[in-house]
Amino acid sequence: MTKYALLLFLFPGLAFAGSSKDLPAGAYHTTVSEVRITFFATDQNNHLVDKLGKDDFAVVDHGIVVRDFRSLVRSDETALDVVAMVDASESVAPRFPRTINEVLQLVSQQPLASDDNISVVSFGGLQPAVICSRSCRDAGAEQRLLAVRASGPTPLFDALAYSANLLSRRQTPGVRPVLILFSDGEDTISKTSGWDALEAVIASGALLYTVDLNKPASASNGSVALQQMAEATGGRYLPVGEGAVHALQAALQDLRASYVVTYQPPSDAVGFHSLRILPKHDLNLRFHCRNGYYYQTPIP
Amino acid sequence: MKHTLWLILVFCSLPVAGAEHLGVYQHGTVVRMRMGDCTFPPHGFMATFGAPQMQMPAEVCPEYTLVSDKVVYVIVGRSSNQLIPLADEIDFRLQKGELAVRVDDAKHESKFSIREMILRTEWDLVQKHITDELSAPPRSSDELLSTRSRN
Repeated sequence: MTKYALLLFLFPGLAFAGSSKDLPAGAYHTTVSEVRITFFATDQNNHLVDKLGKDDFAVVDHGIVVRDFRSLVRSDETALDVVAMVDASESVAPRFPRTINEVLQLVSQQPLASDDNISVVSFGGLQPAVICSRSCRDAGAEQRLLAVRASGPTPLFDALAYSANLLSRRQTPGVRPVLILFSDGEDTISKTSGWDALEAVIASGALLYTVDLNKPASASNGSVALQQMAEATGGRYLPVGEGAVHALQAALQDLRASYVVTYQPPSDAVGFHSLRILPKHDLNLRFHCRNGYYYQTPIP
Repeated sequence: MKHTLWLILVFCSLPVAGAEHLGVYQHGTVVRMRMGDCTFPPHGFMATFGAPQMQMPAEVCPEYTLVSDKVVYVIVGRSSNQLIPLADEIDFRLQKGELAVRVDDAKHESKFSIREMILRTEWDLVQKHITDELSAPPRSSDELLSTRSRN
C-alpha cells in the first residue's frame, strides 16, 4: 500500500504536494513531501545580509541537522498585507496620543506596491475592534482612529488571535502577511492563552513586528514577551523610539532580502516540527524564520 | 650565554604548545541539535506564557549530538546562545572532562559539558534499528490479535 504524505506548512507560498482528491482513481501515489522555509539573515550589527549561499547555513528541523538542500532562491513575495494592532488599554494611556500619531503616519505612507494593504485593529476593554480594513487611507478611517480612547484592561492575546485569523482568511499568493503590534506586552483579560495566540499567528503565516511601548530602560516581562513572540514568527522586535514607519520599512526590507530554501523533511514524525536556521561558519550571522511547521499524514 | 639558554628553552617549548593547541584536534559532524534543560530558575517567555500545568525552565541550553570516527558525544552548552557552527565537519578536543570546539579557524574555542558518550559502533546499531522500525510496514490489528491468540 502506498502512502501519501501531506505537509501542512504554515508559511505563505508553501507548496502542497496536492490532495488525494485531485488524483484519478487507481493513480500511483508517491511521497512528494518538501519543506519550504522563507527566511532572512542579519549580521552582528543587525543589518540585513543581501547575499547568501547554501553553504552559509544549516537547518535544524525537529532536532535533525539538514545541510542538503533542494533549492535556495529569492522569495517571490512582492507585497505586504499589514494589520497594525494598537494597544488601547489603560496601561498605555500616557503614551497613547503619540502611538495614534505613529499609526496615522503608518497608514498615510504611500502604498509600497499595488497589492499593499493596511488595516488597523485596536484592543482595549473586553475585545478587539476593527478600525478599518484595507481602506485605512480615507478620511473616515482617520476620524475613527482619532476617536479611540485608551481605557480598560488589555485583551492582547485575543487581539493577536483575532488579527491572525483576519490575515489567514485573505491570504493571497505573493503577498506577505504582516502584523505590527504596538503594545506594552502585558495581557490582562484575554480568553485566549499566549500559546494559542502565538500558534494562531504562526498558522496564519504572518511575521510579527512588535513595537515595545514600555520605557526603554525598564526590562519588563512584557518586553521579553514581545521580543520572543516576534522572534518565534520570524519577525522583529523594535523599541518604542523606532516608531511605526520604521517597523513598516523593516518589514519591507526584510521582504526584499528574503530567501526560500527547500529540502526533504528529515523525519516523518507527525505533529509540530521545530525549526531553526543556524550558521555553518560565521556565528555572527543570525537567521530569522518561523520556529516550526506542522507535519501531517492524512488517513488513506 | 643567558640569551642562548632562553632561546633553547623557548625553542623546546614550542612543539609542546603547538601539540596542545593544534595536534590533538579530532574531527566530527553535528547531526542533531535541540534546546535542553539548564539549571537556571524559570523566567522570561515561558514564565510569561506558560500555563500553570506547563511549567518548564525558561533558560534552555543547546544540546548537540557530535559524531566522530570512534565516539558519539552528546554535549551541552553553558548558555542559550552558545552555538557551534554547523559546518560539515568541526574540530574538537577533550580537555579536563569537557569538550572544546574550535570556532572561527582556531582563534577561539568554545567549551561544552559532555552529557553522554557512546561508541560509534553502538550508536550506528541503534540508528539502524530505528531506521528499520520506521521503514517497516505497520502491523495490522488482525495480525497483532492472531499473534496474541497464539501465545
